[in-house]
Amino acid sequence: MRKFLFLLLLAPLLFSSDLRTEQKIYQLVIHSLVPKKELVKVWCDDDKKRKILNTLNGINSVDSAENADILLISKKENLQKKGMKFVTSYQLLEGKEIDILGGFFWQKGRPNILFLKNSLQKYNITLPESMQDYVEDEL
Amino acid sequence: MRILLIFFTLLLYLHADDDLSMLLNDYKHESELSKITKKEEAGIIDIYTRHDLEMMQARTFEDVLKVIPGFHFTRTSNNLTSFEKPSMTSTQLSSIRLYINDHDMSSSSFGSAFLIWGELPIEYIDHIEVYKGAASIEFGNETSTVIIKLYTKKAKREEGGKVRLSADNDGSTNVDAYVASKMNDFSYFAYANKNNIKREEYENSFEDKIYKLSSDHSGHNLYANLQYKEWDLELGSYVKTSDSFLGIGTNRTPEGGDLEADHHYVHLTSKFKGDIKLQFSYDNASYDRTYIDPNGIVIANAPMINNYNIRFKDEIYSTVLEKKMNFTKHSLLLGGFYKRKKFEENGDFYDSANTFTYTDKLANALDMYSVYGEYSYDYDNSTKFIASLKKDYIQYDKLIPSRSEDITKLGIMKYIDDVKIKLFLTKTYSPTAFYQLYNPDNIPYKTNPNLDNIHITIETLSVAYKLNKHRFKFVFAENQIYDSIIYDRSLSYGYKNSSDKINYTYVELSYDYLFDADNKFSTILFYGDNSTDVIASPQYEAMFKLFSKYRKFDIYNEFTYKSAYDYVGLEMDPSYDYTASVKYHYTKDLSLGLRGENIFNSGYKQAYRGLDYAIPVVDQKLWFNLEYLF
Repeated sequence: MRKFLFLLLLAPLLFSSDLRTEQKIYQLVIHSLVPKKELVKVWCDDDKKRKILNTLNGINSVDSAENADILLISKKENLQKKGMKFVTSYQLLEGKEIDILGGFFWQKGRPNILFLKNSLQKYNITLPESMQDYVEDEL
Repeated sequence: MRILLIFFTLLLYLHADDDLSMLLNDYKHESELSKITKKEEAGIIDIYTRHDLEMMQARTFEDVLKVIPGFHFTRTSNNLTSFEKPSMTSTQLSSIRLYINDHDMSSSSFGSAFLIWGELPIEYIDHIEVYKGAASIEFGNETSTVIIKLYTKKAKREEGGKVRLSADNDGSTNVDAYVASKMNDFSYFAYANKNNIKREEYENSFEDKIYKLSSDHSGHNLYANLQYKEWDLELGSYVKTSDSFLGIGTNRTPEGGDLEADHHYVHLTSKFKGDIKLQFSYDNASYDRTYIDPNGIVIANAPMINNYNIRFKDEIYSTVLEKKMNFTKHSLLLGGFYKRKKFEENGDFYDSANTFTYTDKLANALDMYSVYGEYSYDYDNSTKFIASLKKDYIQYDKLIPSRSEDITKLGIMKYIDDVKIKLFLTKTYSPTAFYQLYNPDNIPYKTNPNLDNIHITIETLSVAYKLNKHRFKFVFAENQIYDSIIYDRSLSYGYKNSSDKINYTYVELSYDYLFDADNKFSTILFYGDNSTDVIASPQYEAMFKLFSKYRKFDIYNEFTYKSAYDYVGLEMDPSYDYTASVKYHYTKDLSLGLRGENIFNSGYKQAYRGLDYAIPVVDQKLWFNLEYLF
């Protein structure tokens, strides 16, 4: 019930003109990947992305990866860290780490979002039906 | 209650789908690189975003030059890209300077890039910015009143590759391909193009014989960009061959002749802590032109000849150092550059019977030192003052006295709610090119040491107003042109400074309606007038553009009206150019397109001295286009 209420409350935030589009995308993606938490704790290794996260409702940027619900990874060396990961470049997706749920990155001159089916299944995450177009079996 | 919650949740999720694709599309527009690169302080700006270029299915630079307001894009009688300000004859080419990223593409011989790069294939270009009434100080290089900046696509955004195949109904072919990748701190982008362009052939008759006026061209273009942390290395190479069109014969009766030109460059940029930018570059260009005319070519100091071959070789070494300083209300750009420009000119001139043959050769070089600064002061949140100063010292190796020039610019930018006002006063000059100092038609080659630079004063005012989805812009400009360089065939030096001051007035009105991120309607009206008795090109132009997206289709419509004009005894009717393109996205990565150019063959025609009819600048053509991203 609380989850539904929370998602319901999230809706107007997504359409809020106060947020820039990149912020809206991260807000939507992170809450879709961690739907059970009202306050999602995210660890991030990129300063610019961390600033974006700090502006989002229902998302808290944390200093320790161990305490995070999900890791937002921009650097290859941090793929070793344990936990659910979402990456910001196509190369990081190619690492085929089972903990990588997907990525939001530029490729072919356009921004792309991609979720990996096996990783989603491992964490028992079901994305909204309408977001299934972004789920891929493999790269 | 539970049913109600499920209903709302489903609604949210359904929305999330539209939302995600819509958000990605919005993000793409919001992140256009032009939003990062544009310099509001530099002058009056027109921007052609990547989205615009893709919707237009622009293939070459000419497809964009054709729609830049304030100019009539045209071509010279020897098949080179040229421009006319409304009412004026072809503009001094060195007054329009072309950059690819930070690299100045101008040659030493001509002081312009357009003799070689005018037909540049632009598939590797992300977006284009045109600055008018500029002082060029912000761009840290030589001066000009119009700056066109082409920004290449960036590896970090491309990641992958693209192939584009194009062909037209005249048998032209064009292939573009690029690949890009990013690995940690290293990234690369590599591009190649091969083109073979067939153009409409015209005829001229003289003494019962027909002569073909051909303007086909072909060539290839290579570009690579390697980036490692704050180091950026660019390599460019463009090679082309083109027919000589009408040539330079007295009766416009060419029999062969062509231009073989190439330009290769390397440009290294490094950024250091403290907002310091250091650049080194090297250019090597050659321009080999042959004219053949059995009925005679007139050059100074020689009998009538039939074969004219001239070869220019350029080398340019350049170093630019800049530092930016930002304080709470003040910012300062300080910079300087050194350039070594070498020029060599070789000519072979003879008649058909070999009764006259002459070979000539000349070389010179110059060192150019420049220091510049730009100070801007934010008086309050809505008012900015700008002051720029540049000093150029030019020292020739021989024969020509050293000279120095000052460039100054004062500007105010004022924001009042949704109104943006820009006012600039610029005092600048247009550098004299080597080919003007050594008139190639004057043999033996002689220096004209007294030929001065053109000096220009520019006053520009622009007022832009944004109201919801409406965008209005008004531009007014006044130029005073001193020491303009004119060509007088009766003089052995050929080029001379005119003592007459020319006043030029320009007015532009534009209106855009943005339906959404993908759909917009744009109207531009402009007018130009000059103080001489000669109106050598259309004074009025109206242009309408419609960018629309419908399901998997991108549709672009462009309609241009230019007013009537008289030139060299020809009365030219008004012209109406309709160009349109449709692209079908079969998948996200595969698209097919059609682009019709000058569809009703009623577009702008250029009159030429010695020819009794005018010739369309853009051919009536249909291009087929296939694009695949991988």
